[in-house]
Amino acid sequence: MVHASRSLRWFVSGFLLFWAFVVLFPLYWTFTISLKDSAGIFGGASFIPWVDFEPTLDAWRRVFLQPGGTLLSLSNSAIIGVISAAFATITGGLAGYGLSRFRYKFGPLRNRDIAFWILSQRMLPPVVVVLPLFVMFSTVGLIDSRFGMILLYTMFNLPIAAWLMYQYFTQIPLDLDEAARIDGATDLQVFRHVALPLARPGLVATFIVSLVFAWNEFLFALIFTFSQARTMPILVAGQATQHGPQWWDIAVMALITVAPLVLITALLGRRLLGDILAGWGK
Amino acid sequence: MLAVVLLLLAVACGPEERPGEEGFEGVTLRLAVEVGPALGNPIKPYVEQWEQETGAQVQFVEIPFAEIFPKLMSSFQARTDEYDVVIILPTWLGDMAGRGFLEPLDEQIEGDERVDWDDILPRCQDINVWEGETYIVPLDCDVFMSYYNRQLFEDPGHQEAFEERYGYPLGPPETWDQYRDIAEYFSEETEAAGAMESMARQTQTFWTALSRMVPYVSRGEGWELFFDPDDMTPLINSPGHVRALEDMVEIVEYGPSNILEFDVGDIRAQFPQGDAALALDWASIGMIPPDRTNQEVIGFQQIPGVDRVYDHEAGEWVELEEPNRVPFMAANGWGAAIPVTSPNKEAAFDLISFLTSTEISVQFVSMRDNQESAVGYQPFRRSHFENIDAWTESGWEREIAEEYLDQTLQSLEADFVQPDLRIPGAFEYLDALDAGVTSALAGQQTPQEALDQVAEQWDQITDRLGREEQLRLYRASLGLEG
Amino acid sequence: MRQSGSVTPAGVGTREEVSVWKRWSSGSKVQRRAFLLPAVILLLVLSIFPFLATIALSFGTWEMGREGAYGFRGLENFARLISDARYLTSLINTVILVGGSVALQFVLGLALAWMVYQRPPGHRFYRVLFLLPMMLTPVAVAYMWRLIFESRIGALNFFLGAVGIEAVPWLTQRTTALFAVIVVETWIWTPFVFVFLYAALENIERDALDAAIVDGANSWQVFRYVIFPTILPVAVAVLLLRSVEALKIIDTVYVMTGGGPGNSTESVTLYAYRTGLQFFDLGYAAAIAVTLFIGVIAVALPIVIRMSRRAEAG
Repeated sequence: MVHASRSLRWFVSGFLLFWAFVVLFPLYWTFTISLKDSAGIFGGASFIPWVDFEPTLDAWRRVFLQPGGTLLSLSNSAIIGVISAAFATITGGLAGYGLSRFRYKFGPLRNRDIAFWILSQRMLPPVVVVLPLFVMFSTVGLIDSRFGMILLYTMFNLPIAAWLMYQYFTQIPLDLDEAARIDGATDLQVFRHVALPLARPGLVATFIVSLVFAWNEFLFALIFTFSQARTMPILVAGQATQHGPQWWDIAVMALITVAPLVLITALLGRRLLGDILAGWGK
Repeated sequence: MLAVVLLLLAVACGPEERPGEEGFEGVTLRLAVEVGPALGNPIKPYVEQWEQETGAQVQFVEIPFAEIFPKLMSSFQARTDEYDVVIILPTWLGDMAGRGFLEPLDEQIEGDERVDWDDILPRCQDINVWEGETYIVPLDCDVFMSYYNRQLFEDPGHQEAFEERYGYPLGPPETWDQYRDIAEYFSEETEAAGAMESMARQTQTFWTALSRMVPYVSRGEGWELFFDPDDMTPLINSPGHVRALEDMVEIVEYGPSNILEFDVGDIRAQFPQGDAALALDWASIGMIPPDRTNQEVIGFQQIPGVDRVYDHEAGEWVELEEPNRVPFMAANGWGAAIPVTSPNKEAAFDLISFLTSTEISVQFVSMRDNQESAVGYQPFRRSHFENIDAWTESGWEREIAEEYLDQTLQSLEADFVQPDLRIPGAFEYLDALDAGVTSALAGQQTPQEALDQVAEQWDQITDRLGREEQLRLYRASLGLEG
Repeated sequence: MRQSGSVTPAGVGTREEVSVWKRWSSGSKVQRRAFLLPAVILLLVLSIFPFLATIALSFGTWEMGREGAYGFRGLENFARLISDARYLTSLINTVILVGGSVALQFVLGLALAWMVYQRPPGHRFYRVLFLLPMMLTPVAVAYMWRLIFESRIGALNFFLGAVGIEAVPWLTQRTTALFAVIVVETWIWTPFVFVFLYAALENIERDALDAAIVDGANSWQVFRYVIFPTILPVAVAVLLLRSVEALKIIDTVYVMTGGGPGNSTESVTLYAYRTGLQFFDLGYAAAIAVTLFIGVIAVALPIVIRMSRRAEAG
């Protein structure tokens, strides 16, 4: 540690503690709201169940018992998220591998041009493509379908997935490929039996990143889902009613939406951090 | 190969759905309704009852209020078969019926005993008709009401002090000037807020503003609130409209400190506790569960009027002997319609006629024990107003039910009632108004500036949608000759 | 472009490698192209084509669900933008939101990275905890913060009241509402800056730091001559990436203010969404979206140039 005076050390510890509080407080506060009824919410701030307010599970019960609503959206989010993340990882993995191993030349475009072209798609604001996509999807009947959303999220995550996998594959030495090729393996076999197993940590990271993006995505879901394919973010965002927001229900839904993400962070946060430390920070 | 595809398609489409003698076994209806307890919850038990009687299934699709119109419109335009029954506002008829997205229901309605069309109040029928055909069967009929805090008003100390200060006795406000005085008095003299009104963006603020504007401009013809019926010139920035918005801006000072965040949900949570002297809302405040209501507090009446009205044609203010009190049918009232894409129209209409029937509808319009919320449906049938017993069975005290029904009926049966806008683009026109009003309330613009800007936007919307056609439809929606 | 294009393995350089290549290369060109095919097709159909269609749309009008509804209108939509106060407001709001939140994220992210880098007690826990907000669904997070900012039921005014400050109607005045959105955006995305700057710091050889200190450099000099040059490229990239992403802001605004009061806190994306899919004025919505795209390009250009230089060098 670079010269740190005692007071500076105290300041650092204090600030980090403060930031930890800032990170956790919104989650905790939302949790307390989810245990209140309208009297508990409008009757002034209260913070600790049983101590300064009487908790009730009404809102939790209501949200889960609502037919169609929460459970449908939760399963939509899970199915669309997992499948689209898998698709993105696969298509991105193939492209990333291709770009790291072969020299492509399409007219003036070479590998790096193709890689940038793919990555640049991630910078394109989604609102720039949604209007024609809406017309396209309605012509072929993909509006409000899980499959339509899976397609969209695969496209949405593909650039990052391809880029991440490209980085991983570049770190795997070429010698191993060559050895396999000398033994007569085809490109696809090399990919499957040599590169993929070696890139497994990269695949997992790419999958997780894609899953989180798909789970959290808002604009596409807002436009392309109505009811059957509605995902959690849209269910949550749509809680403003003509008769005033039902804060207690909203709190429950917000918590349900982020719960899997908190779990992922708790379980895989260190690993993700390790990946970033190992390479992405360069 | 082709055979396989066809087979798959056949399997996917399932057997053709035909009602058997008993009912609609195997039919699943998708019902779109606003999210939250106000509209979905009260009808759920009756929808279940219908499911049991007919063997059909109903799937609720809940949509947030601000997204109902956009969602339904985009699904209609995309020609996706998403819903069999949609619970919508007549305000959207111009766009939805006008472009052929809804099924006309006249034939089914005629002679359907359960619908019993003639029992529905005429005002609540008219709003559901578009260019001569009926597209919506009402489940509700809306009118904006004014509320006063009976406890405060009956306090002799306040009565005396008020009269001393303002020179007239304290009572339910008959004019918006009195409303202002009362709000000022109680916000200064008591813990309670002067008044509660919806003022948040994208809630019910534009309806509140319109209900304040109506008496300032209405001469009982219907067009005065929105457009000149000769050339679609917006009237929204007339001196009458501006004055009404100035009144509303004044209330910000007398309301609760966070009144700019208020929507009717807040009002319904707080007014019945006695937290304010006055409030504006639909007839819903009366329906709040008794355990969260101080019955001594709630007094109902028509919205106030004005002593002088702005005459658009003469371009000047006209003094009146009697206050001009014109109720406003804000949002017109929820009702059920059937999209043309629905493959289950017969079952859909059966559900609708079941719900709207006198026997069933009186139960949900009088429901008082709705979870955490007032019911969003208000009485719309003559029989609702006559059958007081049904109300007492739902847990109302007879006296309160009588006063509630009496005041609501008085508004709905007034000599003239201003209906809400129904032409194509209504959603966009009203959203522009909502933006203007909230911006004036927040003090970002003066009322005049805000409404001038709204008028400008209304002109742009009209031009974009086609002035001639809009003019024709506007006139038709008012029942004026071509 | 040659009819078939050409495909050769990367890293081909030495004679032996070329001969190895010859042994198994015959007939595998198609196979190699196939690696890129799914990605390219997906992007062409779902991204490039709609993008071009949006450009076309921005020069005309279109009515959904009606036949032959495209009408060419030249620059009409763009001319309308210039005099559209609502659009200009949304543009200014977006710039304020991007500038404010990205700057805050950067300062906080850098401070936190630096502090955690000092390995204070609990730093292993902190570095995972500090990642959390960026993983969470922005819509849900925005609601959580609304529960804090709402002036009557919110926790913030309660805390302020406890120290004698009068309740502030955070979400109903433009300035404070924009501030609230900036706070939320900062809360969500500070982790992004934190983690990449932290990684950059960790990549500095601690030995180099120790050596510098042994050589008598003071803290400032260490920062200026050792740390700053190392993290600068990462910092620039992170700043630009965050700016590009932040320009697309819609979800937090949608939940926290709905664009109100008036339309005074609307963002460009929110306005484009409303115009296109609530008012169904598709041509104009496309024009709004295109201007956002131009903004993104302007910000993203330095990244692209920098990355392509790096790739060229490598």
